[in-house]
Amino acid sequence: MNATRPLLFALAVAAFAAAAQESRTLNPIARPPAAGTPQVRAPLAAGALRPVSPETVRAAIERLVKAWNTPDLEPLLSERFPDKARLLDALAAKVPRDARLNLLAIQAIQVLEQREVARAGGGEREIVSRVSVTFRTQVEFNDPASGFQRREGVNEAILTVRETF
Amino acid sequence: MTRAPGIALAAAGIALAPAAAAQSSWDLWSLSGSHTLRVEHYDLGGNRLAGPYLFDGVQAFDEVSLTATRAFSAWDRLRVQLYGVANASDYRSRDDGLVPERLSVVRENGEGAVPYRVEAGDYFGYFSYRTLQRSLKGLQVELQPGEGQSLVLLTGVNQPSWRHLQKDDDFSHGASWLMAIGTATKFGANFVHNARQADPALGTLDRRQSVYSVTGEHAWQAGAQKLRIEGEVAGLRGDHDGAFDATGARIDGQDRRGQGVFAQLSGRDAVLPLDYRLRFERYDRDFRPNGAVIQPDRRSLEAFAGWRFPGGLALRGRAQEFLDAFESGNRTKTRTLGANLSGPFGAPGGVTGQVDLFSQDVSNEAATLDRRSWVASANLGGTLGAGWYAQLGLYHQSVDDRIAGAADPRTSQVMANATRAWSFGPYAGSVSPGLTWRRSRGDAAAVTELSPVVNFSVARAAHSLNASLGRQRLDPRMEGAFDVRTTNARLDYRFVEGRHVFGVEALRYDRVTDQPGGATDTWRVALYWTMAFDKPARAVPAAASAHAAAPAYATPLGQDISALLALAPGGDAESAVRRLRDGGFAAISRQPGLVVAEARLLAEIEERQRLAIVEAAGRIERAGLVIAFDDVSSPQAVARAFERVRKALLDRLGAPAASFEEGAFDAGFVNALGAGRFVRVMEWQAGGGRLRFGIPRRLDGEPRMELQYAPAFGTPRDALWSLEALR
Repeated sequence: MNATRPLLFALAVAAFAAAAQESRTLNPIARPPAAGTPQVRAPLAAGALRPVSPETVRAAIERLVKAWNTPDLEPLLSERFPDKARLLDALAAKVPRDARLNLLAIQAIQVLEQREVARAGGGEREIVSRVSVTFRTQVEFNDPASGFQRREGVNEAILTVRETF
Repeated sequence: MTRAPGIALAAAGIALAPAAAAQSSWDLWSLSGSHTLRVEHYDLGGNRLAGPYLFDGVQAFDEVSLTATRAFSAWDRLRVQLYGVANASDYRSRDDGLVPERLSVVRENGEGAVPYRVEAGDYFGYFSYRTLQRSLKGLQVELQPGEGQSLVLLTGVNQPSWRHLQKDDDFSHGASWLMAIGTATKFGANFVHNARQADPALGTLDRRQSVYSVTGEHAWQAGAQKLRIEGEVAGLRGDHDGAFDATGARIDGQDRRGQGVFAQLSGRDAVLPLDYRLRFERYDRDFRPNGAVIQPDRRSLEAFAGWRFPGGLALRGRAQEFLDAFESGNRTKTRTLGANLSGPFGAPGGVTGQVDLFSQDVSNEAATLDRRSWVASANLGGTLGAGWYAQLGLYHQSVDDRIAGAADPRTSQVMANATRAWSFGPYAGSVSPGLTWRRSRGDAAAVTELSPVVNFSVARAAHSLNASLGRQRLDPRMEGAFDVRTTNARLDYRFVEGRHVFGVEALRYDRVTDQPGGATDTWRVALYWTMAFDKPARAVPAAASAHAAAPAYATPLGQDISALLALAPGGDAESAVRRLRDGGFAAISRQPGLVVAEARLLAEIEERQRLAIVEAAGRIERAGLVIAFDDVSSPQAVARAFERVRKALLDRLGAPAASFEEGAFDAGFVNALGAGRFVRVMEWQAGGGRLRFGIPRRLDGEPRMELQYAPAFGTPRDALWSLEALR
């Protein structure tokens, strides 16, 4: 099934672009105020920057896998997901309707970056984390001619996790 | 040393306060992580190639994640992350034994003359979509020498495994400079060099390529239009994997030059609910950066527009044209027109969902491809009454292939399911039957499918059970094809005790067909144990810990949040009621298993608040503060009330240990809550268990806020955690 390949490729950048546009943005390094140097807001206390829990990541990946080949996938992908519309069109028009993605294993989780962002309305602090997740999946479907089919792959997804403190 | 406000928090065991004792360097490290031991057994009967699993017998692994952080000062910190597995499972990893999967050390220091960020090990290299966006193993340094300026230097290999690291397989180094002027303008320049060694097995040669680009972005307002334009011009010089021309002949990829251009104008009206986006991309056949995420040999023109109606409905339209094989001869043109309407439809039952329609024309210059497809789909959900929530999915695809003799396949599908929440005593859960019917006609894949399924869940306190049973019946119409009957059964149980999660999963996949070698009968049983650990950067004072172990029940309860924190699970219920009375709580009422008092524990919150104790055998099973919404008809009012309460809790309890959000406060949020698509959960660790605040799903469908103190909770997605007995 040819449509498997673009999906597995596309998952590698899932939701990453939510925090960035199509080229990198400035993530200021917090620094103390000094003469002639503009102050960057003080960072959070050491304990406030904490890893995103594996449970949260697993729930996100399970949801992503479950949503594959369904209308629920569209809102999970960033608006700037490369070729998002083509991916969704391909899923809707080319992938067998009974094809499902089966999560075999989550292999690694890594917080790539955490930053504090201003929250609308002020007051609270919002921490945005970019999390890289490697996971093994296989696409499963029944082909009327050749029987049960599966296509295994290893994927990397970049998730954006927002937590309010 | 200072103590966090509120001694009651320390008494409840919440590690908020810094330590009094002199700090050792170990105390300055914050550690957190988890380990999971999982043992699975697979029993594969029949033809294993006809089922979802290939490897049988016992498969086991123990994975560990660890994050250590140390703050040398408020501006200088170090973070170490490790993720690895001791593996004896063919599914978990292709390697056995100890497998390091992610290793990362990050130092960020803003105190020096030039603030810097250094990442060693695994990191994500990102310059732009057209130059570099991929995971690398190596070293990345970012310097920020002045306001709005950033210089990134990196070197690393793109390899999935530390155990099989081959530097020459895919090695990159590069530099990126960025200049941001306020939030409106930025521009930059990028350079990446990539080298890959020859692979005789694949017939590839040594490949070395350099990719360079300049980027720019600017936002401004013109009248009522808020506009943003961005672009990138990129070039490639060097080698790539090669390509094929229109005749199928291979084009050598050595010593090539290619270019890529991207431009996008996006905007929205400051007054009208209108937004739009115009996009252009053009990539040469030889513009094939190894670390980028673009499609070479393509030209794209795309236009998107959206309009949001007052009731929350959103209409989006798009027109796209792609020219593939743009420089290879025999161009393939793909034209797509689409529209999507989503949100609350306002029909009886509060129907929400989306309707999507698109048509796609695909043709090539050689006239070997000329096809038009129509795809229409609708996915709607709404309440039916009597506690039922229903979802309906419709799908139809029609293909008109204009090539003589080609098939014109059509596919229709209807999916319907309904979910009803239920409770019986302390047990709560849901049942969800569903049915999918599909028919494909017009080509060799013609088939009729009928797939009933039923899902069932039940939970009590820290125990939860989910089960599903589904059957798929495929009746192909093709001559010589075989009918297929597939049965899927699944059972998942989990028990949460403090930092520990224990679980059992069972799965059966049974495939029956007359096709020789097409039948299989697969069983999988899995046991797992997850333990989380967390060491704050500074130790909890010993006195506070001791206090937490033996809460003093003798004193009256204050009418603030400390009252709830004093009601630790497992405590004596009668003593708790006496302390409520001694504390002046009014209107205390009792019913079997439940004590309720009107209580305004959050003084600045005007909404009605009630303190509840769920008791069993004279002990506190759980306690909670229930806060009503004054007006659930206005999503904005609900959102404001929720934010006020959340802020009040953050002020008192500090940063939560975990939070989970999904869905928005819009006109359909009540239905989304009922369907499990709206989640608001925050949790704090406490001495007697865990505190959870959020909006649970309730059997009566009424949304409200609850702050509960319980030994443990299910996952954030297990939405039925409300104090159901309290109406």
